[in-house]
Amino acid sequence: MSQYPEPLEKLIKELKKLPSIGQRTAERLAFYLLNQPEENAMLLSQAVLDLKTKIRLCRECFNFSEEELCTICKDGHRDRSMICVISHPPELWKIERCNGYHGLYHVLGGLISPVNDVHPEDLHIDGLMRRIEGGAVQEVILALDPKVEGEATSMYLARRIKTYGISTTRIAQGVPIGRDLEFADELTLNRALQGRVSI
Amino acid sequence: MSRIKKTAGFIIRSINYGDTSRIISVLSQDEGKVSFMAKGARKIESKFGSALELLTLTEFVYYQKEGLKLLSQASTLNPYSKLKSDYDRLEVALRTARWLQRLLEEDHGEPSVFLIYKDFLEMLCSMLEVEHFALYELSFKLKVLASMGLAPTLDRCALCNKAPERSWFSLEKGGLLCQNCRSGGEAHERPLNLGIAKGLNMLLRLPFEKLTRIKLSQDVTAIGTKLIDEFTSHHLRPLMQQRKHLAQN
Ligand SMILES: [Zn+2]
Ligand SMILES: [Zn+2]
Repeated sequence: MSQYPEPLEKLIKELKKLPSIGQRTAERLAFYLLNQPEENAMLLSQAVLDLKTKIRLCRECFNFSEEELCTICKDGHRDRSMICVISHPPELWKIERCNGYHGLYHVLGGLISPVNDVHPEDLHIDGLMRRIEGGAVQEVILALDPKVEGEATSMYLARRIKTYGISTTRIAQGVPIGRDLEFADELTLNRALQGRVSI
Repeated sequence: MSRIKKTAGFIIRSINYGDTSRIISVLSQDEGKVSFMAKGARKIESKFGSALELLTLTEFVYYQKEGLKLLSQASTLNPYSKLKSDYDRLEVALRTARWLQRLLEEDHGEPSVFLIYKDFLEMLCSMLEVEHFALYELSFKLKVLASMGLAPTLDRCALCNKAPERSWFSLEKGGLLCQNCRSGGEAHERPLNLGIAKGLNMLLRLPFEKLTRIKLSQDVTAIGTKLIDEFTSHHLRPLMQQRKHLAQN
C-alpha cells in the first residue's frame, strides 16, 4: 500500500487525534487545507498556537481568559453576591447565552470522582472557599451535571459552604421542555415532583 | 446472527465515548466484569435514562457485535438512592468501585464478587457511623480477594504452618511468615504484629453483619488498609503486564 507524502500523512495523523474525527474526515480536511491559499493555512496554524500561548485561567474564577482576570470577573455590572459553580468553561458560556444569570462564576475544572481517582484537592475548591471568605458572596448556586459525580461534588461543596452560613442552592432537576411526560425516566420524574413550584 | 443476551449488575465505571456515547463497566451477576457500549447515552433524551448511573443495579439487554457488547436496553432494578444521598457513603462506594474495576479482568470473574459487593453496599446504606466505614471497606476487600483465591494466610506461617512468635507479612507469598521462613530484608516483606493479623483474619472470616459486635483497635483498619492495598497492587502488577501484552498482540 502506497502512502501519502510525509507532510500530508503527518497532518492526517494530527487531525485524527481530534474528537469525532476518523481517518476519512481527517483525509478530507487535510486535502481541503492543501488546496487552500497559504495565507489561510497560516491563519489557522496561528489561531491554534494563540490558543496555547494567549489563553490562561482567570485568577479568580478559573474561566479561560486572556488576562489575569476574565471579562466576567472584571465586569462592574455583574452581581457580586452570587457565584454559580460549574465543572468546565463550556457550561459557563452555555449559561451566559441563556441571558438569565448576571452573577459571577467559579469553574471547578472537573467533578469529584473517586472512580477515576479525582478527589476534592484536584479541583479548584480552595479557590472557591477563598472567594466565599472574602465576604461579598451571599449565595452559591451549584450547577453541576445531574449524575453521581455531580451529586457527590454538590454534597461535598454544600457541606463545606454551610460552615460559612451562606445560602447554597442547586439548579432544578426535572423533565426537559418539549418532551412527553410519559417517556420521562422515573428518577427524573421523581426529582421533578420533589422540586415542584407554585404557579 | 447476533444473539440477544440479558444480565444484571452494578455499574462501576462510565467513560464518555465520542460525542454522545458511553462505555460502561459492569460488575455483573453471572459474567463477572463486562463492558457495554451505550450509544447515545449522553444525550438528554437518551432511552437509557438514569439506568446507567454509577452504582445503580441495572438489568441490561445487549447483543455481541464484532467483539463489542452493544447495549440495547437498560432498566433500573435498584438505584441505591440512600447511598447517593450522603457524601461519605458515596465516596467509599465509588472508591471501592475503582478498586474492583482495577482488580477484575474483563469477561472474567467470580459470581460471588457481585454478591459480596451487593452485601457491602447494602451494609453501607444501613450503617450510621462514618467512623466504621473504613473497617467494612477493609473487610470487603479481604472477602473479594478470598473469593478470587487470593485470601492471605493470617493465623499461621504461610510456609511451615506453625504459629509464629514474631511475624512478617509477605506480599509475594500472600500471608504471614515466621522468623525461620522469611527470606529477610526482602522488599516485599512487612513486619506485622500478630494482634493486627488476628484482627484482619476476623475481618476476612466474619460476615458483615457480625462486624458491629467485635471490638478492634484503630490500628487494624489503618495498618490493614495500607497492607491490603499494597498486596492488591503487588498482585495486580503481573496481571496488568499480562493485559498490556495481550492488548499489544
Ligand atoms: Zn474570572
Ligand atoms: Zn514458617
